[in-house]
Amino acid sequence: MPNPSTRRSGRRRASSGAVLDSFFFVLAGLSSVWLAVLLATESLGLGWGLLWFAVLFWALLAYLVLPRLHRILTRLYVPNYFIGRTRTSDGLLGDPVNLAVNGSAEQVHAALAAAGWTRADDVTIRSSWRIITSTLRRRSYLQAPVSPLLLFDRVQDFAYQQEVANNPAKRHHVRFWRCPAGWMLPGGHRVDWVAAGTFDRAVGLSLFTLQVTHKIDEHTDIERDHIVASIRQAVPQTGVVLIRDFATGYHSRNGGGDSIQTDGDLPVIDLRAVPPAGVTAGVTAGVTAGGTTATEPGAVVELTGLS
Amino acid sequence: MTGVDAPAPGDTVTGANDPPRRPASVMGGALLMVARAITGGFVILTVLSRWDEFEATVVVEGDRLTPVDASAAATVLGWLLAGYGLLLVLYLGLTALVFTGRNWARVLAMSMATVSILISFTDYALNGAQITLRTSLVSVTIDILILLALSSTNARHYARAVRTRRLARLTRPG
Repeated sequence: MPNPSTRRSGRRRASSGAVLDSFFFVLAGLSSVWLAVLLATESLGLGWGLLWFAVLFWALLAYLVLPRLHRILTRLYVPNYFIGRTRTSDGLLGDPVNLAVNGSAEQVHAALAAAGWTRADDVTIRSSWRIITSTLRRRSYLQAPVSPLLLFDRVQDFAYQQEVANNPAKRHHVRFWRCPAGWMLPGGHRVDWVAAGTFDRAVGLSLFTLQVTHKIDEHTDIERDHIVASIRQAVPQTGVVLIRDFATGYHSRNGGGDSIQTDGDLPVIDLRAVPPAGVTAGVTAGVTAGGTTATEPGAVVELTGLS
Repeated sequence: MTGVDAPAPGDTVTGANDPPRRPASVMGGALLMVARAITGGFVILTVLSRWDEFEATVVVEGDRLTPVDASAAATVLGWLLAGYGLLLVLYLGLTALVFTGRNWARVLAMSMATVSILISFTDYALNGAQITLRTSLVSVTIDILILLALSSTNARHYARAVRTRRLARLTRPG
């Protein structure tokens, strides 16, 4: 155990640095608004260069000014504990958390690969460039990266997707986060992973930041059920505990301003009976199960509340 | 930050021995700082190329020195340029430290950008100064972009991660 007095002084020093950082963070946000005003004023005096300047102005607004303003404001008013919603990198409420999984990382990878899902590349300069060129040329990019969404204060651990009709604009996709040790879902359910699955239906502009982004389909429950069904079909050992009315059903918007609706059910996919090395090698099926919510391989258990 | 006491992004991905990955905001911020230094270099080049014109504008205690005392004016101008050049070199050194993730360098660079922005803003708001492409729009833009880049969460986490790693290495025996 560290000495309490040194710990306290360490925290005070860190918090004075944090205050300074917050000061610069907010000041940069305000300065960027001023810069937007300056650029808008300047563009009025620039006859022929107007279009070029308008693009520059949009880029500044969409990728620097609005994200920073959202970061400042959402830090103040969006709760940072688990409310069943992910957050975008600008702090806005993102896609709903609509799946949970029990099992090791290897088991999750094995089950999704068997169910015809492709792991998404990480976001790098190279993969970003490839997603632009493949979109323009309408060529498929099966491992296209997905945008970062945050849960537990961090970006997803990995994401899987299924492209639809060789069109990079449309795809099924699901992001996974490993739960912190000892963490439980509301209601005291212990799971290894939580996930957010949505269907990208087109490319468009975000309502809140004006950035180019994927627009998602409103009916997130259809995507959730598609993910569960595809895994159950490919991996017969999959058990499912369906927590009915885990959240109240709601209509809302995600971080890009797209409408979303859900009935609030949360399927917990149990992959602990899946052999991690490969689904087809299934001789050891069923021996790894042994947790608190272990289900019979292949079974679906419904969990309903008080009534 | 409130809520779950989760480690910062990067901490979970990289182990204690891996160097933290430099985020795009730090690279962009450092590039902009280099751009800022280059614009300063252009100022020096401009003065050198039109030495006589600038020499004629040197004013000491309210009196123009040329043509009466041209050599004194040249000395003053020379020292001013040399001082400015030295500052630019120091600024490039600061850029290198920001790039390698020194937190104090990041805070100092942000402070310098802040002072510069506030001076321009005061001039704009109180004296009605025109900030256009012909005057100071480019340098104001660069200052604001530097401040935006270096104050971002990624840049902050990176500087913290580098410091944590350095402290860990310093305290480790052997």
